[in-house]
Amino acid sequence: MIQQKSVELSMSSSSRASGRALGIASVVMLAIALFLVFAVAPRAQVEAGGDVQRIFYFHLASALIGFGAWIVTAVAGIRYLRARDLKYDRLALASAEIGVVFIAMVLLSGMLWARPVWNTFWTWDFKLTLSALQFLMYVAYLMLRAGIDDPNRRARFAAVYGIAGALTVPLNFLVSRVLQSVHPAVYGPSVNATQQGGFGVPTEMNLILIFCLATFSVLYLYLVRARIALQERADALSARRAELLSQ
Amino acid sequence: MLFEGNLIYLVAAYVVFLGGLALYVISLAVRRRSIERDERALEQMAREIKDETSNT
Repeated sequence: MIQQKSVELSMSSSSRASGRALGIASVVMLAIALFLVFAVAPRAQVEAGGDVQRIFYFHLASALIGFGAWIVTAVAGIRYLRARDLKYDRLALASAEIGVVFIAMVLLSGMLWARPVWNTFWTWDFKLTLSALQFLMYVAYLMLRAGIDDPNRRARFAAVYGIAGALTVPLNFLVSRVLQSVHPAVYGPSVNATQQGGFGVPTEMNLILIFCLATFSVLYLYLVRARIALQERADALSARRAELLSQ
Repeated sequence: MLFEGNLIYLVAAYVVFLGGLALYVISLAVRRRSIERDERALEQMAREIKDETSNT
C-alpha cells in the first residue's frame, strides 16, 4: 500500500514537472515567435496588407492546430467507443475546448486582417461561413456535454458528435481550393491562388511559420494536459459527491 | 501608402491571440480553484457524516 502510494506520488510529481516544463517552453517559444514575426519576417507586398500580413503566422498556425485539435477529438471519440474508457472522453473534451479557443482566435484575427485588405470585417464567403459554422458546432458540442449528467451517456453522445463534426474539417481546406472564394489559398494548387490579399511565401516566411506551428503545438500539448488534469479532478469530485449522497 | 495607417489591426490581432490564450489559462486556474473549494467542502461534509454515524 505504502509502496503503491509512493509510486503514485513520484508519478504525479514527474507529471507536474513535465507539465511545468511544457508551460515554460510554451512561454519561451511564444516570445521567440513574436520576435520573429515582428522583427525578422519580411514585409509582405501591399496587396497582402503590408505589415498587417504579419497576422498570417499566428492565424495559420492557430487554424492548423485548432482544426487538428478537433481531429484529435474525433480520434479520441473512436477510441472511447471501442474501449469505453473515460480517459479518452477527457482527451476529446480537452481537445474540443482548446480547438474552440484557437478557432475563435482565427476568426477574430481573420476579421482584423480582412478589414484593411478587403475593406470589410466579414463577408458571407463559403469558407468564412463554414469556419464560423464549425466554430458554433463545437460550442454546441461543449453545451451538449454540459447538459448530460451521466458520464458514460455523455461520453457516448459526445464521441458520435465529435466524429461527425470532424468530417467537416477537410471540407474547410478544400473549399478555398476548388470553389471561388475571397479567402486566398497561399499553399498548394487552388483556383484562388491570385485572390485579393494573396501573396507569395519565400523561404524566410516558411521558416518562421514552421516555428509558429511548433509553438502552437507545444501550447496545445500544455493546455490539453492542464485541461485533462482539471477534468480528472472534476470527475473524481462528482464520483465522491455521488458516493456521499448515496450514504 | 494604402496600409500605413492600418497597423492598429495588426496590434489588435496579436492582442486577440495573446489575450485569448491568457483568458483560457485564467479560466483553467479559476475552474481549478473552484474544484479545490468543492473538494474541501465535500471533505468537510464527509467528516460531518462520519461524526454523525459514529455518534448514533
